[in-house]
Amino acid sequence: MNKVKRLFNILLMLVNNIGIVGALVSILEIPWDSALDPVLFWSAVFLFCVAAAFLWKGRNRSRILCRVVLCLILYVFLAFVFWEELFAGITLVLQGPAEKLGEIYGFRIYWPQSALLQETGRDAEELRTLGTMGMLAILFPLELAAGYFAARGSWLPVAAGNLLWFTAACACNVFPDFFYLVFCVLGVLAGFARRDFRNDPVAGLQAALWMAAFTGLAMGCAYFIVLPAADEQYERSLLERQQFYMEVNQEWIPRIRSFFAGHGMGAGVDVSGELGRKEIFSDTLTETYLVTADSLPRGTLYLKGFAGKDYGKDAWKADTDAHFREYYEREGLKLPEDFRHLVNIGWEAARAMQGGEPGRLAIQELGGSGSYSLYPCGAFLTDGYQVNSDGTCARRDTVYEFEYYLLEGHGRNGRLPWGYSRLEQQYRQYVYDNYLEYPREELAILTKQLENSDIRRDSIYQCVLDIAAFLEGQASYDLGAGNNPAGTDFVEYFLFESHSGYCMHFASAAVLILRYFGIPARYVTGYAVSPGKFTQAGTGEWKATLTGENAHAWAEVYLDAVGWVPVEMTPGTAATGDSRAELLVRMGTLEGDIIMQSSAREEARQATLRELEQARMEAAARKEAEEPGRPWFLDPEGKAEKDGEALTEGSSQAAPALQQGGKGSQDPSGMTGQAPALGSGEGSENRERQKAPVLESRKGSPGFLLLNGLGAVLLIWGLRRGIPATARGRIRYWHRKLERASARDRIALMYGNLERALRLAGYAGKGPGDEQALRRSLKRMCPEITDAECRKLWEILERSSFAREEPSSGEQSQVWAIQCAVVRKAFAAAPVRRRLWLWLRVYSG
Amino acid sequence: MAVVTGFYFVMLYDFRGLRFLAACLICIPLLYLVLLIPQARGCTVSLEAEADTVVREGLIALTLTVENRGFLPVSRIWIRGVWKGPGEEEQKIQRWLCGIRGRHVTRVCLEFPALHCGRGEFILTKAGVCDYSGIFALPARERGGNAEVCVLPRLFSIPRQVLDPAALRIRNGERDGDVFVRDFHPGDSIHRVYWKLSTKTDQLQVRDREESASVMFYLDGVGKLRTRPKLWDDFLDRACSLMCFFLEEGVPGLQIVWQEEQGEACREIQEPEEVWTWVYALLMQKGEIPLREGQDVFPASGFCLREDGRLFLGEQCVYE
Repeated sequence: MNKVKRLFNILLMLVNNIGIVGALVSILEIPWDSALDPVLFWSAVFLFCVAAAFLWKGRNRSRILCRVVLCLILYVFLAFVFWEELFAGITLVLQGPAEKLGEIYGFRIYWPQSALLQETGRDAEELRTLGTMGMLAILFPLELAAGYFAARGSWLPVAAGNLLWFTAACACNVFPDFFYLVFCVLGVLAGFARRDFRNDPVAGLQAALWMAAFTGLAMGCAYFIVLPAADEQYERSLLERQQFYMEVNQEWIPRIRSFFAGHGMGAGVDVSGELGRKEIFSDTLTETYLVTADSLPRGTLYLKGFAGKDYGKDAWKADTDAHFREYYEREGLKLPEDFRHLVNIGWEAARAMQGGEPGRLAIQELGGSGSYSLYPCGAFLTDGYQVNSDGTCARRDTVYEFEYYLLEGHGRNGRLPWGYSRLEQQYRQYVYDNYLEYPREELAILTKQLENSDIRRDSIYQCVLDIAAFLEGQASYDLGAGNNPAGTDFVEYFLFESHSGYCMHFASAAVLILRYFGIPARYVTGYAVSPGKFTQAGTGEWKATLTGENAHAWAEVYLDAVGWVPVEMTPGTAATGDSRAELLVRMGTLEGDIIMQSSAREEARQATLRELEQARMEAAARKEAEEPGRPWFLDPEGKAEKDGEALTEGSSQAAPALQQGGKGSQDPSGMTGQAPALGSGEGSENRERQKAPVLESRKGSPGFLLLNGLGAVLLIWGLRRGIPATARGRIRYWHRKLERASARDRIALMYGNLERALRLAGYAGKGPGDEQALRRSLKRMCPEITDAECRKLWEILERSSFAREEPSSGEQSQVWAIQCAVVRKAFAAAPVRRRLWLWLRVYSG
Repeated sequence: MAVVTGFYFVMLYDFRGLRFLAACLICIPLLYLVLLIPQARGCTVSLEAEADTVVREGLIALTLTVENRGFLPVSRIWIRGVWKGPGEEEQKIQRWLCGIRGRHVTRVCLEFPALHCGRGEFILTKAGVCDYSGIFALPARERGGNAEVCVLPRLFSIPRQVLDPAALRIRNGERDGDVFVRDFHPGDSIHRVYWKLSTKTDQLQVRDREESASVMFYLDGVGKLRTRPKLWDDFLDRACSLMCFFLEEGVPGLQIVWQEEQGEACREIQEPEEVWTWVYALLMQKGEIPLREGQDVFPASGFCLREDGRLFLGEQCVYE
């Protein structure tokens, strides 16, 4: 019965593990093919369940404690010995999810091993094994704790596990796959069966199997019948909800606002990368900013707030400083002292090309607070501004001002100052490597359309015009357009199904299409102020009051040596009040060979790549000559500095962008680079040499761990059977056990020993309750035992079980004598293959 | 709260998996409810007492038998009943039986202490079968919903001296023709003296009216002590002990007389075993009560066990 109960517990733990652990892996989006080895992982999880079930079995607390302590000591020992590999594995698995969470919730975790992992050049199989081991190292103590509660029939581990993944799902905004949900449900229901059938594990197992079958049937009905109806109802309720929100925003909030005259409600629309309407209530009529200019701007001011780099299902994701730094370090580029210099490239470029006096702009926040300080393209940000690597500016005071040039495109051929030029060249490399990402697999329909389209690629200007025409032909402007349904892509749904959208849709589509054609582009949200919004104040200044209605989204294109330039792609945008064509014309007349991409650029790029590779190899050789014994992985920063210097010196004149196997589309004009990836870097030979012995010692690590685990299990089992392994020690242990027991227990122990001896020697009867079988077995094993003695033995056994009086010492002696005779005969008569087992299970002497 | 919270999460988060879970929360219990119907029909609950009688201060054992004739295991069965013990307040009992296999019979023993003499009854009020999720329950079939147990009095030993004066008076009589006469004993009524014989023998002789070998044993207090359990127990203990003692000591028979609502009841007992039969009938209030016609309330001869537990023979107290 205990065995069945244990089997049930193991199955229960396994099912819950598959559900909960699988759900967590799915939520954290840990890739199975690159970070985890499924076979190794699930086999180890199964072993953990078995180990947990055996470790916590029994009621003798000291024994259980002994087992668990030994197990933990073994775990700590192994973790100490392999701490580097485990830490690397944990980093490999959790770095991605942690960065993703950090982007959402605004924290950062430093992963020093990431650079190590990248540069060690391990192959995919090793990385998977490392990742799996790391995850298992985290899971093992949790499994141990869960086994304790599971052995006592507690609900706690199941409830805690399910709550954990659900919380993680809400935090990460990702729900696990249906496969793992099924196991979670089965695990919970199996818990019901265990609770109700705790006294009859066999029936409990049957009941659990039946429940699983019927639950599967119910889940099938739920998936195929109820779920589509629920989805439909959800979509309907979403639409109704959005309509409700719009009604509240457009009618009720203004009424309430006018009631509280002079007070704003809410902060208006805060710019972000979210796609679709997610905010519950927003007051689009509240005054949010007051823009004051010293002179009337000659064109629309695009005041940028948020800049999105990566296209996601629900939102554009911003670039992070950590990613920026990591790229620069990896490429050996020199990090700018302050990120605002990257923004000021545009100002310098405009000043160089247009000249003249810059304008002055002051922005004042009215009511509430936004996340960003807004500034237009061509602004000069002083050191008081806290600028991020993507050019966005964190919110500072409620009033801030700066000088700016409105990028008009007319002017002389200007060049950036040397410092800015060098800065821009390196930043350009970064832009071309990171702002050309086009998710080809997710946008299959759009890709196919673009392959067959007539969009010209001769120049950026022509390309932009054609893209704008394409968008205008595909969709119309509609501020009331709803969100895309679940399971569809935001842009594809806009372009090919709904054919209606607003600035968010047009800007997102434009950025993706620009990237497809090899033009670095990004998605920006902020406020757009047309000249018509400005009114002249008595002091001669021009003021414009912005509300939520002025919030806008647009695309920005990176022009070499100029920086990020806004491109308006929303047709007939009422907020701008400008002709789109005018701005495009302005942009398109920017002169110079910097803008026009040509095939010569590609050749220059390849040459620079070769120069860079050579420089790195020379630097590695130099370092090896200086410090031959120094491991390559201990000084990544020194290597980076040397590389950076080489790069800066070698590339100050011509500055084609450097590609590093970046993603992107195939562009025949050579605007983007699908340049072959650089070599593995400096010291690649060293790295190979160093890799071999390191890898050799690690190759056996999974097997070594498993062996250790097996050894631990055997050790614990051996300890449980009898601490001394010698024959004399076992006899002493047996006698000690008998002495400590009461008279009844002594009879039971002796009978148990006798019965085990009979069974292992092959003379087992039907079961312990069968007197006839016992007598037959005894007679066969030991013919010298008479019938009377057998009968007497049985009477003693019955009396010791059911009678009130304790067995007398005479009766105990009789049982002892019979038991000794039987055990002696069993050892003599047992077949060879059973001798060891007999020696382990039966006490003699 | 759970439903509201679930609805809130489903509406707030656009997770298809969450909607799937919500759909499962509806479909799974419904399916279990459908499965519960044949399970409930296949379960039968019956009740029986292990023994019809129990001596006071013993243990009343009742057996609840649950039979699952279906092939699906049943997760839980709940059983409710009421125990009405003699001299005790009603007790509501509820038992849960968990984990019953398919095609299996499970027995549960209910034990109650027999504190007072009388009739104990266990009434099975409800029995239900729960589904696997524990949300729904349907009634199980009940068979034999009641069990009755009679709590009999305890016997104790009676000293032999009690019998002596009585034996003298019973055995030392002789017949005078059709009249049964005996010597006069102090306490006999003067009106009973058989003067005709007495003058002849110069000894006072008393004439008994009844020509019966049985000795009357009057229980004075049956009607009054029934509602007072402790006194009733003591009274019955004493009465049964005395009756058994007399019968075992050779008294040819006892005619037990006691007061019922309908009148005076009478029963002839000649063997000690018949005492138990009589007590059983008295306590269980079953069967027709044989009434005694036209007799004195306090017979002049015979034993009388009073409420306070004293035994009188005539007007003499012979045991207390």
